[in-house]
Formats: sequence, structure tokens, C-alpha cells
Amino acid sequence: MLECKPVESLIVQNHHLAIYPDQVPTNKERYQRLVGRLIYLSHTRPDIAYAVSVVSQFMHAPSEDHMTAVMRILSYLKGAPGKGLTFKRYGHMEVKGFTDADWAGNLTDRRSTSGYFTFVAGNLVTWRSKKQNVTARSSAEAEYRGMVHGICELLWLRTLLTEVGFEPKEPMLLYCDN
Amino acid sequence: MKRIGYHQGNSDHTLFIKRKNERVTLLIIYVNDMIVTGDDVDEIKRLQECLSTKFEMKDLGGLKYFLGIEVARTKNGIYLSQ
Repeated sequence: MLECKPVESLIVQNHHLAIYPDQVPTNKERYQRLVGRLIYLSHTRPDIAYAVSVVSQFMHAPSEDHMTAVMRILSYLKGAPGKGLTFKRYGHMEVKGFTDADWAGNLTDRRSTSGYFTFVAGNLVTWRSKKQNVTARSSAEAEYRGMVHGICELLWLRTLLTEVGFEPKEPMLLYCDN
Repeated sequence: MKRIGYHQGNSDHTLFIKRKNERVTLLIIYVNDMIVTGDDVDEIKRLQECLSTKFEMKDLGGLKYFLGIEVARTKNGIYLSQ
């Protein structure tokens, strides 16, 4: 991997990653170890959140194709090493959330994936990409389910900020896609 | 912790909070690593002294690394990376 060529994108667009009956198994321990490290890395790398959420769906039965997807993430990281998060003063204390969802992105069970990220005082603080646990029957339903996760996170942030003495003065805004 | 005026956070059970005279002191714990922060310098000192009478502790100074995450302070802000 040290000599690998960096790639621009983390994951192939419209990838068909899934668990297939005729898939070629890969070294499971190695796969789980690599993905485990990527999950920890995603604590300071919001850019890899979606790709890591995809490859972590195959931890129990990883194939050569899944391993190729992991290697692609590593190649991307090679081209963008050492990145992180900056926290600075923007002169306000606004709390904002953003959500989005795909629809039936998972080929096996037709479940959607949604994501959110939140800003406190202009700084990115939390984010998540997760396959939904119910099959949404419309894209609107998928978006709504995604918004629920975003709202839950905002409400948790409000509780936390209030506890440490920074209760949001203005309403928290949630931006969504429809 | 309760005896010296801290309460456990509801939003995060590993967070202990003390608010006194418009100032706040926070203690966050992960197994055997902890961060003490806040805007009450005297209270931070008191907390450190109190904890070190109960536990063997080492003060590693300003936050540089926590659970494998590097914390860098620059003129542009605080930078987190791994």
C-alpha cells in the first residue's frame, strides 16, 4: 500500500457492493482490522464517513470486491493524508444541522442510507452516515427518517450545551433535502 | 466528585460538571485518561489537587494527544487530526 497510486474519490459512484451468494471470500481478520481502523479514523475525518459506513456493512462476510473498496479508501487517504478538523471562533453561537438521504441504496434489502452533520458556533462537531434500519417506501420517507436522526443529534447537542452553560439562544436550524 | 460540587452529565455519563459564579469546570473521563477544562483556573487547580489525593495521577500539561487524536493549537484555531 505504501507505493499505491492515490485516487480522487473514496468509492465508486453507484457501486453495487452487496453480499452475493457466489462472492469470493477475502481474509476476514485482515478486513475487520482495516475497517476497524478506518472507523476510528473517521472520528477526525468526516470525508470518509460514507465510504466507511458502506464497507463496515460487510464485516461478517467480506469478499474480494469489498476488500477492493477498502483499498480504494486507503488509496484516497494516501492522496489526502494528515487532514483533520479546525475549531475556531466565528463570533456567534448558532447550532445548525444538515441531513440528506439516498433511496434504496442497498441492493440486498433496499434500505436507504442517510447522513447528517451538525455545526456549533460555525464549527463542524458531529456527523454520521448510516444505513437506515427500516426499508423506506418513498424517497420522502427516507429523507424524513434521515431528518429524525439529525433532529435527535441537535436535541442531544442542546442538552449538552445547556449542561455546560451555553444553552442555544436562537432556535436550532435543520437543513434537509427533499 | 459529588462531595466537591460536581454532577454527572445527562448528555454524557463520562462528563462531570461544576458551575460556580458563572464559571464552568469540566472533567471528561475515558477509562484511565481524562481531560480537565473550563474557564475557572482556580477550580481546575483545586480539582486536580483533590483527585491526586485519591488517585495516582500524572499531569501531562496542555492537551496534545487524547486517545490517539492529536490536538494542535495554532493561530487559526484548534486542529484535531490523527
